[in-house]
Amino acid sequence: MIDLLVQGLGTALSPQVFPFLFFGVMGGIAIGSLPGLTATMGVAVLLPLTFGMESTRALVLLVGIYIGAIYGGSISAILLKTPGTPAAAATVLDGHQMASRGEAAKALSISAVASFVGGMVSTIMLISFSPVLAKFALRFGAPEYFALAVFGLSIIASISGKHPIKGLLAGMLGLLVATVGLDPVTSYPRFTFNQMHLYNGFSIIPVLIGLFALSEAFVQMENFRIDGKIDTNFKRGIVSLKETIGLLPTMLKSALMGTIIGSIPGAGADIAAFVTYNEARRSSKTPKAFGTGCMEGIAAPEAGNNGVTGGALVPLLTLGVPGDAVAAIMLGALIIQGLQPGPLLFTQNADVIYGLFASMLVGNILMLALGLLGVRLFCRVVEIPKRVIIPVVITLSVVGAYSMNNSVFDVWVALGFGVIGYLMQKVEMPASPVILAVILGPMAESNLRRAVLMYQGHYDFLWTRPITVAFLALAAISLVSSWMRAKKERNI
Amino acid sequence: MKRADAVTALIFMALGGAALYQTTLFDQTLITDNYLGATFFPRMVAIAMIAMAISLLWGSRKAKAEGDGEPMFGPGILRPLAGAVIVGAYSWALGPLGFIISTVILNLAILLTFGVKKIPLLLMLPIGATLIIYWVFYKLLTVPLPEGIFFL
Repeated sequence: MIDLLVQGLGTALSPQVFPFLFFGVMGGIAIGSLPGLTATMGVAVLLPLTFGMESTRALVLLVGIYIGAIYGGSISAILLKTPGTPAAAATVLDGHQMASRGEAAKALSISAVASFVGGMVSTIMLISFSPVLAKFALRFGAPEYFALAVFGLSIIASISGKHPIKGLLAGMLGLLVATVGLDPVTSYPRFTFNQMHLYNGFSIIPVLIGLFALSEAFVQMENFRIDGKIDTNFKRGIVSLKETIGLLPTMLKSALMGTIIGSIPGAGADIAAFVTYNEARRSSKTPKAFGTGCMEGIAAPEAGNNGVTGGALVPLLTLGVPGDAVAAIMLGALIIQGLQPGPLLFTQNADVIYGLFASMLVGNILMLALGLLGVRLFCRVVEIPKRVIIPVVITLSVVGAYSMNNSVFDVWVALGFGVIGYLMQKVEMPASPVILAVILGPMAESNLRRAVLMYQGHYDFLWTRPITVAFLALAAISLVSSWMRAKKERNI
Repeated sequence: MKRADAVTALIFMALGGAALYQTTLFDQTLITDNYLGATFFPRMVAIAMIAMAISLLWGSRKAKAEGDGEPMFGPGILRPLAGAVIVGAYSWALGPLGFIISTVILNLAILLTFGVKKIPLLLMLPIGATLIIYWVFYKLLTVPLPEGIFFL
C-alpha cells in the first residue's frame, strides 16, 4: 500500500496533474466563500469540463474543488457573518465574534489549520480504514438515522446561550419550515396553500442567506452612522504554534467525528460541523466562552466539516454508496471515467485510486498554504467601508439565493427570512437553531416514520438497537447538561 | 426584554395554533401511512411550539423588566426598512429588467439610503460590482441569470 501511495504522490505532484489540483483547490475556496455557491454546486458545475479529461486529472480537479469549497465557506462566515456554505453555519457563532473584536486574521488562520487537520485525518482514515468504516456505516438503518438526527437537534439547547427556550422556539420554527412541501412518505402537500413553489419546500440556501446575511445587513444598516468608521485596528497576528498545539486535541477529535459522520450516507458536512461544535463545547473546561469568539468554536466545526471530505468517499469507493451530495456527483464522475466503485476498484484501478488519495493529501496542504497566505488579502474585506460592503453583501446574497435553483421565488424566501432574522436578533433569539432544524428535520421525520413502518407500528427500535440507544442517550445528556448550564449561568 | 419576550411568545403561540389548525385539515392520499401519517410530525412540532411559547410567556412574567425602557428599534430603522423594500422591488424587477439593469439599480438605491453623495462612487460601485458578479456567476460558473426584456 505504501508503494502505491508513493507512486500516487508522484502522480499528484507531476506537472500533468498538479495544476489541476492547484486550480481545483483555489477555485473551490473562491466558490465556497461566495454565499449561495456550495461545494456540491461547484463540483456539479465543473463536472462537464472533466468528461474529456484523463481519469486522474478529472478526479483530482473535482476533489480539489470539494476540499477548497468546504474550507472557503468559513471565510465569509468569519468576515461577513454570512456562511458561504451550510457547512460553515456553525463557524459563524465564534468566527464572526472574533472578527468583530479585531481578530479576523487569527480566526481565518484557525479555520485554515483546522480544515487542514480535518482533511488530513479524514484522508488518512480513508486510506487506512475504508473497509471498517464502510461496514460501520452500513449498519445504519432508519432507526439509527432518526437517532442521529435527534442527537443533532439536541445541540439546539447548547447553541442557544442564556435563553434555551428561545433557542428551542427557533428550532421549532425551523422544524415547522422543514415540514412545508410534499410529505416525504405519502407525498401529501403540507402547508403549501396550493402554491406550486412551496411543493418542494424551502431550499436551505435562501433560508440560510436570509437568516444570516440579509438580516445582518439590515442590522448594520440600522446601526450605520455617516461618520461611523469600521474598526480596522485589528491585531494582525495569525494563530501561534502554541495556540495551535493547544487546539490540536479539539481538532483531532472533531476530525475523527467528522470522518465517521461523513462515512454515514446522508449525513454531510453541515451536520458534522454542528455535532463537533457541540461536542467541543460539552467537553470544554470553559463552555461559557463558546459563542463569544473562542478559538475552539472555530477549530471544532472546521475540522469536523473538512473531516467529512475523506469520510464521504469511504462508502463511495468501497461500496458505490455516496456519503453526501458531492460524493454522489463524484460517483457520476467515476462512472463517466469508466471506473466501477466497489472493492475491485482498489485492485483493478489502484493507480487512479492511490493517485486520488495522494492528491487529497497534497490538496489539503495546498488548502492550508492558500488559506494562510490569503489571510491578509481576506482581511481587507473588513477594512472596506460599510456603505460599500453592505450593498455588495446584499447583491451577493440575492444572487446566491437565486442561483441555487435559478428561481426568483428563492429571492423572496431569502428576503422573508432576512426580515425574520432581523426581528429575531432584536428579541435575542438565535438564528442557528432554525438552520440546524431545517437541515435535520426532514431526516428525523422521514426516518422515524420509516422505522415505525419497518417495525409495523411498534417502537422497539428505540431500545433494542445499540447505535440508536447510544445516540438517543447522547441526545438526552446533551439536552440535560445544556439546560443545567444555562440555569447555572442565569443564577450567576 | 420582558415585553419583547411576551410579544415573541404570543407570536409563536399564534403560529403554533395556526399550524395545529392546518394539520386538522390534512387529508390522506392514495399512498397511505397508517401508523404516523403526514400529520404526526407537524402536529407534534406545533404542540411543542405552543408549550414553549407558554413557558416563555410565563418566564417573562417573572423576568426583570430590564431594557424595556429602551426602544427596540433605533433611530435608523428607516434604513433597514428601505433595504427590505429595495430587495423586494429587486425580486420583482429581476425577471422583466434582467440581472444587470436591476442589480445596478439595487446597488445604487442602497448607496443612496446610506446617504452616499459622491458621484464617482455612485457610478463605479453599482456598475463595477454588478459586472464582476455577472462575470463570476454567469460566465465563469454558468449560472443562468435572468436576461429580461433588454437581454442584459
